Amino acid sequence: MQGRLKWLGVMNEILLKTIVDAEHAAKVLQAKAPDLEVVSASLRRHPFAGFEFHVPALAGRGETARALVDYYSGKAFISDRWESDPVLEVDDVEAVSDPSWNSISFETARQRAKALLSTAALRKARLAWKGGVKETASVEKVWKPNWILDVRIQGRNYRVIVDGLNGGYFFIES
Amino acid sequence: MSIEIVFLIIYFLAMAGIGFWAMKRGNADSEGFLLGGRSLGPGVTALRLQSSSMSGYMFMGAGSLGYTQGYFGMWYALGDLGGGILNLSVLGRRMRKLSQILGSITSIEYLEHRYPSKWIRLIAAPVALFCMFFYVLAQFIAGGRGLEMVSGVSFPVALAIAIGVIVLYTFMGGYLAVAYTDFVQAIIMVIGMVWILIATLIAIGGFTAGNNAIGEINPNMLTMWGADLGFEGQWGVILGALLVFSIGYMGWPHVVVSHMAMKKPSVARTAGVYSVIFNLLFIPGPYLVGMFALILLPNLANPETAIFAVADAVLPTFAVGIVMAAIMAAIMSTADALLLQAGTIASQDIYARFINKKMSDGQMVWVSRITVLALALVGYGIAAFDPPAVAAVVIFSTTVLGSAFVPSYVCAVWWKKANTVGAISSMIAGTLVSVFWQVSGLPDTTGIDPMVTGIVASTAAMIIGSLASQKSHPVPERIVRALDETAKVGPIPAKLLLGQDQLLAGQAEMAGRHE
Repeated sequence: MQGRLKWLGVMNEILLKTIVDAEHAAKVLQAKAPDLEVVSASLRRHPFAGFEFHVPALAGRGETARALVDYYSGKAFISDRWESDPVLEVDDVEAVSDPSWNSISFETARQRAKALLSTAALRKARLAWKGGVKETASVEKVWKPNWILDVRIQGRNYRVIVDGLNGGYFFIES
Repeated sequence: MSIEIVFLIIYFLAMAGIGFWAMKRGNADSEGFLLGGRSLGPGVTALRLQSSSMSGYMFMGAGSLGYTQGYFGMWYALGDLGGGILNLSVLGRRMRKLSQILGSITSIEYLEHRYPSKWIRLIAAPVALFCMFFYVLAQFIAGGRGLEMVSGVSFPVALAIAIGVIVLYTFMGGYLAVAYTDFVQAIIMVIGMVWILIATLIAIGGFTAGNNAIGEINPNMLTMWGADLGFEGQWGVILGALLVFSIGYMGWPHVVVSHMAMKKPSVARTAGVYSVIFNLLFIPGPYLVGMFALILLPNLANPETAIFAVADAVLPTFAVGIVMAAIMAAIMSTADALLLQAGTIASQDIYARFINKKMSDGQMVWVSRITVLALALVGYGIAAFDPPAVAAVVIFSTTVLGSAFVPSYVCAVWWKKANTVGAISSMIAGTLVSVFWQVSGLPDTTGIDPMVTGIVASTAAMIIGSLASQKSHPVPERIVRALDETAKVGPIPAKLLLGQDQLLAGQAEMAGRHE
C-alpha cells in the first residue's frame, strides 16, 4: 500500500494521510441533515504521541498493537495501522496550537499508552495472561488530520470537527 | 446422570466450540485482536453487555420478589427499564466529553481527574471493591442454587463447584472468544426467559386467568403495594425501589465506564436500540414468572428458586437443560466481568497508585489473580454457611454504590463549584448513611429506603462541603476550563447529535477554539 510506514525504532514525526476529503466530510453531515450548508472547511492537524508494542498473547502467540495518545488531553487510544501522507511535509500543514492548559509530556503519553494496552490485553486474555508488553517503536508526533467545518442548518450556525481518517464527527459549538 | 446435566455439558461444550471457532477466525487478522469490540456489530455489542450485567439478580432475586410480593416487584422493573434512558440523559454526553478532555480511562480515574486528590481514589476504590464483592457474592449464590437444582447435590458442594467454575473461567476465559459466547448466551437467555413466560402463561390458562388465580390466593399481590399492603403509602420505600436500578445503577464502575467508552457512533446508537428491545423483552419476565409460580408451585421452600422450579415444571426436559445451562453461563459471565473489574481496581487504583508506582504488567496480573482468589474464598465462606438472599445482596450493594458515587458523577459535569472536599464528603456520607440505615433496621421503622437517605446525605454533603471550602479548595483552573468546554454546545439537531463520535470530543475543543 502506498505510503504505508516501514520503520523501526524512534521516529520524530509522521503526517497521517488524509482519507476523507472536504467534500466527503460535508457529505457525512449532509447524509444526516440534507438541509445542511457548508460555509467553510479547513484542515487542522492534531498532535498525538504514537507507540507500537509487542503484546504477548496466550499460548505463546504475540502480536503488534499501536496506541495514540492525545498531547492536549492525555487520552490514549488503541489505533489502526498508521499510513503516512506520501506527498505532504510537516511544514506544509496547519497544526492545532497548544492550548497549554491541558497538555501532557511524551513520557506521560508513553505510560498511558502502555497502561492502556496492558489493561486491554488483560481484559482480553483474562488472568491466564502473563504480562510482558514491550514497546518496539515510538513516534514523537503523529499528526492526525481533522476537518473543521463551519456549517449552517435551518438558519443556525455550527462548528463541527470531522475526522480526516474515518469521517466521524463531533459538534464543537453552535 | 440426569438429562438436564447432559444438556448442561453439551451446552458448555458448544459454547467452548463457538469460542474456539471465533478465536481461530480472529487469528487471520491478529491486528484486530486488541481493537476491542470495534469489529463487533451492534447486536453483539448490545447483547453481550446485557448478558454480562444482569444475571443472578434477574433469575433469582426478581423471581423471588414476584413470588413473595406480587406486582410490587414491578417498581424495581420500572426503575430498571428507565435506568438506561436516565443514565444517558443525565450523565451521557457531558460525561463522555469531560472524560475525553481529561483523558480518563476508568471511572475512578475520572473522579480523581475531576476532583484532583489522592484521597478520592483512596476512598472510592475500597468502596467500589466492597460493593462489587457483594454483587459477585450474589452471582456465586445464584450459581450454587442453580447447580443445586439441576444436579441435586447439596448447596455447599454445588456452591464450591459453581465458584470453582467461575474462577476457572476468569483465568481461562481468554482462550475463548468471550464476546461471541456472551452474545449467544444473551440470545438463549432472552429466548429461554420468553419461553418460560409463555409456557407459564399456557400452564395457568393465560394472563387474565393467572391474575384471577393470584387474586384468589391473595388479592393484595395484584396491587403494587406488596403481599400484605405493607408498602401502601410508603413512598420512601417505593421511591427507593424506583431509584435503586435507575440512579443507583449509575454508581457501578462498569456502567460508568460504558458511558466513557469509545465506540463507533453508528454501532453505539443501534446497540442502544437493541438494548432497549432486550430490556423490554427480558426485564418484566422474571417478576411475572416468579409471581405466577405461586399458582403452579405454592409451597416452594426457597422463593429464590421460583424461576428454576417453574422452568423445570413447564418446559420440556431437553429445554430445561438448555435454558438452565444458559442461565448458569450468564451468571458465570457476569461474575467473570465483575471479578476482572475488581482485579483492575485492586491492581491499578490501589496497588499501582499507592503501593508500587512502577507496577509492571506482570505484577498487575498477579494482584488481580490474588484479588479474585481472595474474593472467591471469602465469598464461599459467607455463602456456604449463611447465604443471604440474592435480591437483598444486589439491592444493598447497588444502594451503597449509588449513594456513594452518583452525586459526585452528576455534579462533576453539572455543577462547576463541586470540588474535592465536596466529593470526598459526599462519598463518605453516602456510604456511611446507606450502610448504617440498612444494618440498623431503620427502613422498617421509618418506612424510608436507604437509597433515599443515602442519596439525600451524599447530595447534601456534596453541596455543603463544596460551598464551605470554595476558598480553601477552589476548583482548579484546568478543570473549570474543561467544564466550560463541556457545557458550550447548544441545541444540535437530534439526528446529528446521536451520531457523534465521542473519540473526537477532546480534539474538538482544542481544534475549534485554540487556533
